[in-house]
Amino acid sequence: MKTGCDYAGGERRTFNVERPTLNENPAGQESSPHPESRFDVRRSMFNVRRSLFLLLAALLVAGCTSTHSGSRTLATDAFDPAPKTKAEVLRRFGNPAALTTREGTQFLAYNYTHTNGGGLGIGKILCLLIQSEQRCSDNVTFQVGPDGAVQNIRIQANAADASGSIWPF
Amino acid sequence: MNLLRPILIFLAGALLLTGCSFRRTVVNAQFRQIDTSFIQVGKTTADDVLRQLGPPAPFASPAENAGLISDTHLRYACLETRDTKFFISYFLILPFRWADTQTIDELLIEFDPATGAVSRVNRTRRATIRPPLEFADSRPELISEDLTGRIKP
Repeated sequence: MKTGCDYAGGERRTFNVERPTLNENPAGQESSPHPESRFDVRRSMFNVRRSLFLLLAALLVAGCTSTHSGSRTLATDAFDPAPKTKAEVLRRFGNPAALTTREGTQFLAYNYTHTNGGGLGIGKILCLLIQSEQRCSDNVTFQVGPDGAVQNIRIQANAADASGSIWPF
Repeated sequence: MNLLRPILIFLAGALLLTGCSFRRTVVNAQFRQIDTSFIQVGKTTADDVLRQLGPPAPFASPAENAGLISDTHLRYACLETRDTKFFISYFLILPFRWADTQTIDELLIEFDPATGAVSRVNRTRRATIRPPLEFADSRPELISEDLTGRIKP
């Protein structure tokens, strides 16, 4: 509610000016020549505001992480055909992550990991941080005899491991 | 309308602080392209290799030593990580992060358990990619070379 002055007629009179609302626009007090379009603008502003909130909410939940380690997972045709000698294993898979020898038999171990996760945090002061991770690990062990021939291949595919944390726990 | 202006200012500020981070981390860079010319198959011992190159070093924790050193082998590896991050702002932490970690250069030196001398030398090289700009399909094949034949017996 506003107060206005009218000096017409040499007499000062005070009257109240009603601000038009969305649903009413009294005659003689129109501030816009197109009251309907003003209503549309207000409605569209509401829509913009709602869209911005939705955009912000979408951004809040969209954080993601992705980490790869190792050359490739076992989903490929890496064992078709299977390597028959140690030299072939080294040529196709590279140097092993671990190499142990037991009574002349060698064990060449390879590990491939793939991590996917997501997280959300608001402000370093608030420090609200939620993280979750899913890790898939493929392990392959080649057993090589003293003559250099592959005796056995042990595969443990997609040994999944999931972890999550909520700061500060 | 009163609420819209602060939201617009906040979003504009967030966009101004928006940035991408491209990081490359190399661990054990001294083990990249190791000169193997001093190694003689059947003659050079583990002590000689350790004296020349020093002991293999783990990437992150001492527990990795189990895969790097044993009675029958020494493994020198250089690790590279390519990391891409996308920041909305410092106040709104969104962990958009993609990373790829590879041992880009590895030297495996094996020793004969009977004589203690070098029996095999193998070098493996891999390449990292930068996700999400590059896909795993575009990763070059690993290169594994048996250097034993090139080293003087």
